[in-house]
Amino acid sequence: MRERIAAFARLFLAPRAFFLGFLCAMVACSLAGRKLAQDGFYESFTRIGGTFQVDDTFLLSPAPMVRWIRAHCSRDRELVLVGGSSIMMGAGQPVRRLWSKRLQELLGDGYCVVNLAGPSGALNGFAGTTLGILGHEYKRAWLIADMHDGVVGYSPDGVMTQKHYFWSAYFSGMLEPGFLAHGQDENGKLRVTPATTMSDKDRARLEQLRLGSWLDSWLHFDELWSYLHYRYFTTYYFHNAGRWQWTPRAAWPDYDFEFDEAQARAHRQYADAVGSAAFNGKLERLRDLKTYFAATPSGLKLRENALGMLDTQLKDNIIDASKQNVVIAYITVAPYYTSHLSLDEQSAYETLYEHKAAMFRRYGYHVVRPTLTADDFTDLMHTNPLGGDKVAGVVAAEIRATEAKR
Amino acid sequence: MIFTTYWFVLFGCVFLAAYYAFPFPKWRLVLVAAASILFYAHFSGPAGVSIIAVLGLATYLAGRSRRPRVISLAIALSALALVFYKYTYFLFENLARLAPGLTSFPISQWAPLAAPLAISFFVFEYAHYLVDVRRGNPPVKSPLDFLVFACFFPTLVAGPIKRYEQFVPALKEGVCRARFFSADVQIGFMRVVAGFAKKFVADVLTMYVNGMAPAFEQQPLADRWLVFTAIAFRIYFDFSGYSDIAIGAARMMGIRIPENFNWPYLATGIRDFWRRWHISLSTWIRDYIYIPLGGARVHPAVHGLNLVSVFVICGLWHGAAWNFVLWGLFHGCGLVTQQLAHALRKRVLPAPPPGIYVTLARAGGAAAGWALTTFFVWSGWLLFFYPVDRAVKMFGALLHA
Repeated sequence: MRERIAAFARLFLAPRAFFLGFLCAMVACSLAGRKLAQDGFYESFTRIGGTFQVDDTFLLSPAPMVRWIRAHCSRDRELVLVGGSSIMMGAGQPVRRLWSKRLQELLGDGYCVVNLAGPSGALNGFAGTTLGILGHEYKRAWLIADMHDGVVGYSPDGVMTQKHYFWSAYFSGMLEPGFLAHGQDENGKLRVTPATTMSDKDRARLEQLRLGSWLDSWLHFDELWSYLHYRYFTTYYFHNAGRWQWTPRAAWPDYDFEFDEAQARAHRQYADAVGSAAFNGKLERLRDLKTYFAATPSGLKLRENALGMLDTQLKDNIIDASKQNVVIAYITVAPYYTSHLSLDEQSAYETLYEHKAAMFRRYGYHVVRPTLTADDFTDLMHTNPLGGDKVAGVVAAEIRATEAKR
Repeated sequence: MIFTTYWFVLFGCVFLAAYYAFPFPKWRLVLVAAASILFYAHFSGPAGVSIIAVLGLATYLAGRSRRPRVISLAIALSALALVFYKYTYFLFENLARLAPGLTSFPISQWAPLAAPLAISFFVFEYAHYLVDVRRGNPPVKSPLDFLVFACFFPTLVAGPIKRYEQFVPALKEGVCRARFFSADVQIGFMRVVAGFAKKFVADVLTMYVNGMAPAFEQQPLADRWLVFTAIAFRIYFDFSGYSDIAIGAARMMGIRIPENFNWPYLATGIRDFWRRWHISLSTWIRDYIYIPLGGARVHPAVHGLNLVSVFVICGLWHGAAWNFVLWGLFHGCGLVTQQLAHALRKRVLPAPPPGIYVTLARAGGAAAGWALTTFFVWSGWLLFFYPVDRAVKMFGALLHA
């Protein structure tokens, strides 16, 4: 008997058995990931960036997201994907007064608004990639994003924090070929941001990300990983997370509070006091217009080809705005700050807007500009619910007007 | 970062498959050398390879010559390379503070922007080799053996810092006996997995710390202590995770390399801590700096000064910035204080006869020593990670509600 036990123990402690067990575990993880991707696991959300934010160890993967959208938005409705940065995510807006919720109300049941905007996001990213996956499945699909200074990311894979989403969709073959074609050069290669323009760290990170996405397209470990994080761990920490910092993402409540309009008008939440170091610092950055303008005796003058880079990016962008419905909301910096700039500087910003908007329109984008006052902002550039309602109003009007033209 | 890349995992799988498939030890040695060169070239680029190649070749030739002057020259070359690549900017910035006229000197045209990958590690290994050969130990004759010692990929990035007297025999034994279905591979593999798990915990702690540290003073007191603890475990899991991956990867090849950590946060004194933390570095510093300076056989005042100097060098080895110097100074002063207290206690309190109360008192002393050492070492990590003024503010915030 003792010998039998020893033989049994040897069998399971032996290297062969150990490695076989390891292999079985890997296969089981891969199968679990594949199943989760097929079934989906995201619970209902009002904005994806509100309850969890993407970072290095949590990957928002496209397969379960697409599954969620298909389940929540029937094909007979028009799909409205909200992309872009924290401005479009609605940072500064409680979930009950979120601008994209207001947009849904204004557009009605014929439309399905999904807010996939996230901090530092750009035109391409979660929403842009999702458009490439789902755009052709719906009666009509819209992409709404913001345009403001400081955020670019027209490379097909978007900004760094959202690139994994694109590559996961790309290697899994989820992107519609017609969508993909516009982002390719004459040799069929994707026009991605040249590696030479990146720092060594970013380049290494991107290489790692692409290789990982390729492996995950076969193994589906990312789906299992995302599921475990979403349901059981939280990996993003910030100082005002309070008691939620130890709570799994799926159980996080979205940022919510009772919005008091009078209070918002009296003192803007989070806005810096006029004359404070933070206020002056931001003002200094706003005054730094030398990238676009040359100082001449007659005032600031837009440099020749100042927007050449933007022109190239829009021309080569994977999203073909002449065929897709892309609405760009131009959100200016809060007048609370810009009113402290000189008239010349204010006029320069206006010139810049006009040129950018013209450029976007030339490539088929719809550009809208809500009229926002100092009362509509919660800080330098994020709108409060009052501003959010105005954004929703102009976006809905643009969508309606375009539909009417058709 | 290097070990936790998909590239490394794929590289490791392909390498190990070929390693076990090769039937002859010599072939395996060639494979290890080729893989090490490929590994280093991938992560450091051609410029980095040229530096390790030149220094490695100089070290090998100087060792083979066995002439003290040639060996001293090779040591100086390695040391100068380390100073040039790692400390030029630091030295220049501080010299420019003393002599403001220097600021107009275009230093960026003369000095490299970044040091070659792992230069601190391989320079210390080469220096050890040369010093030991000069002391009379036999040099490595086979160029292939030396090549593998000089750039063995598992230990190249983050140690442990190898000793050739142990490594070369372990290498030869490993390439002869390694086979896939063996306890070595199983144990090594589990060690690698443990290393990856530690790295994951370290990365999560890093995010937590990075998220919380900017508003450290605004956190509730309990959260501040939590961040303080997370900082300490972050570096431990990060560094020991790397060591685990290195030791495990070598073990999977059948090669045993020395341990680098031994439960450092259980240390009951600063001296004990340094016997448990980054063991390969602390023993290197002991053997090649502290003992040549006279060890404990010099005048107590000189001994104290030597200890502080040795720790300042240890701090500088970790990075070219003042906070690392101060971190070394902090540990050096702590060790001297501990030794003084120890000597004073011996003089004032005669050794009591054994008994239950003495045993209890010793256990209490060990617990107090552990608590003090832990607080001391963890406080030191604030200096290690943050600029001095920030570290002082954070430390102050720990003590005030």
